[in-house]
Amino acid sequence: MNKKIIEKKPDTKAICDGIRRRIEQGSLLPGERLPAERELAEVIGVGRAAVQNAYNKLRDEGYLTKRKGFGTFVSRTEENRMNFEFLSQTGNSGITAMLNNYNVSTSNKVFSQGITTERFFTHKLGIPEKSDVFFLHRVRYGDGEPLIVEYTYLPAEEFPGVDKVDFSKVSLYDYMDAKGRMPVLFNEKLMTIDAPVHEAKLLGVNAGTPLYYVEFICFDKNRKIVEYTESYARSDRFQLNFTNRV
Amino acid sequence: MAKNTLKLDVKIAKEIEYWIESGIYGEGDRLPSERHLAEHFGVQRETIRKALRFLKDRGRIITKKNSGHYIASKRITFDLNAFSSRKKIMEKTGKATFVKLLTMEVIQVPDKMLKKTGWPAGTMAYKIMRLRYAAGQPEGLERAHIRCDLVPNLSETDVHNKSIYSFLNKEYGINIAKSTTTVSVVNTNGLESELLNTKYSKPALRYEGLVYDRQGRLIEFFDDIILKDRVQFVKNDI
Repeated sequence: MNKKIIEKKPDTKAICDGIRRRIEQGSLLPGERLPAERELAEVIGVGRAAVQNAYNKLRDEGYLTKRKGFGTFVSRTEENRMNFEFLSQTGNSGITAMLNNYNVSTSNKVFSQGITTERFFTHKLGIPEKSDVFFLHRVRYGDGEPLIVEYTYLPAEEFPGVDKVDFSKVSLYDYMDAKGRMPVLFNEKLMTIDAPVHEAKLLGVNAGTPLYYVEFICFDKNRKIVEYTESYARSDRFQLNFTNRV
Repeated sequence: MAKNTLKLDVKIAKEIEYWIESGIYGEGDRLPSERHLAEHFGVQRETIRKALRFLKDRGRIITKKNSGHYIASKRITFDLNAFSSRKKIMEKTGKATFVKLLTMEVIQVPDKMLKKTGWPAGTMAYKIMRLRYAAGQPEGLERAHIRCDLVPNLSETDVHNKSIYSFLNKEYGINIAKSTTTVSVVNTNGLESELLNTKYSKPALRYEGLVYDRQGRLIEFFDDIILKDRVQFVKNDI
């Protein structure tokens, strides 16, 4: 535990707030052990009772779990994590729709957009080499908190004028839907990586914090590729659900 | 709005990624030296270093000191379209694999698991802990729970380094047909760290799932801990 969490003599509430914040920010991870009550009390210069009360309160709230003889741990419950399931085939796709399901208000920040012709992207999109690819790089926020960094690439020829659209105001999927090119089928590849410096900064987490890294190739109803996206999503805020048949 | 083209180091990183994806460079191959790459792309060494950093951060390449940059090993792929035994997933990698039985016991299903499975209170289950290895390195710790009443005579030799599903199929006519799974990031506890040969309390993947047979019966609940850098999950609609 960092000594700097709380400078002044904190009461139980301040200790609770500090720990809760760290859990929510992901600097304390599910399953991680907290310092012993006495140890933390010493570090922040309060009586052991204040820490004990804080731990008890957070345990009642479900943030912490006490394991007899082992100590106090961040709960391994995933109940406070949202399902990263925006790949619905029922038309209600997109991160906006996914977050709205959790009553989270969404916003976007476009940090870069333009045209590229790199063959990595033309290859992913299945279009001829040297074709224009529109790129849109965004941070997606939920209730003002950064949750996902998205690097999206579209075949520019399929979306004339796309580079003139202000995607901080217009939802990409609303735009694609309006053009009759809504993604409905998805090929996805998913893994975890340690947050690179740039994405960590955008997401407000420490570099090296585990993130979900997901690549999507998206197809419209005519099974034509309309989008390629690389997403970096916070692993402390999401879990991934799948249903599979043999 | 910032720029209207990609940064040079990102373009170079993506070109190298193309080399990897199109098979120009394969697993374990050494990339040209920084100097050669700088010449090839006509850029400063510093730009190449940034591009290599980009690829390294994303697990595409690894750097060996005084030796160079190499294409990283492929991750073990969990194909979510074709749910199959974890033993078979390991075998598909083409590497030497081994699924070592650690413990097998009969337990009364605890409350938390009852909630997840919907099994009635008092249900008995085999709790099978196995450690999966690929190329001699641990990949994951498997904790399978299988209802006893469906497979009354399961023994240790049936589950050591074998596909449990194949055994269930052969001996009990149980056909695994469907699963629902959840992937999340957790920190390893003492036992998990020890078995997986990592430091205590390191982030790892929890791969949790419910497995059903063709009649829709819930056969297994599993709760695996997987080393997060060794696997990837793939799901394709097309």
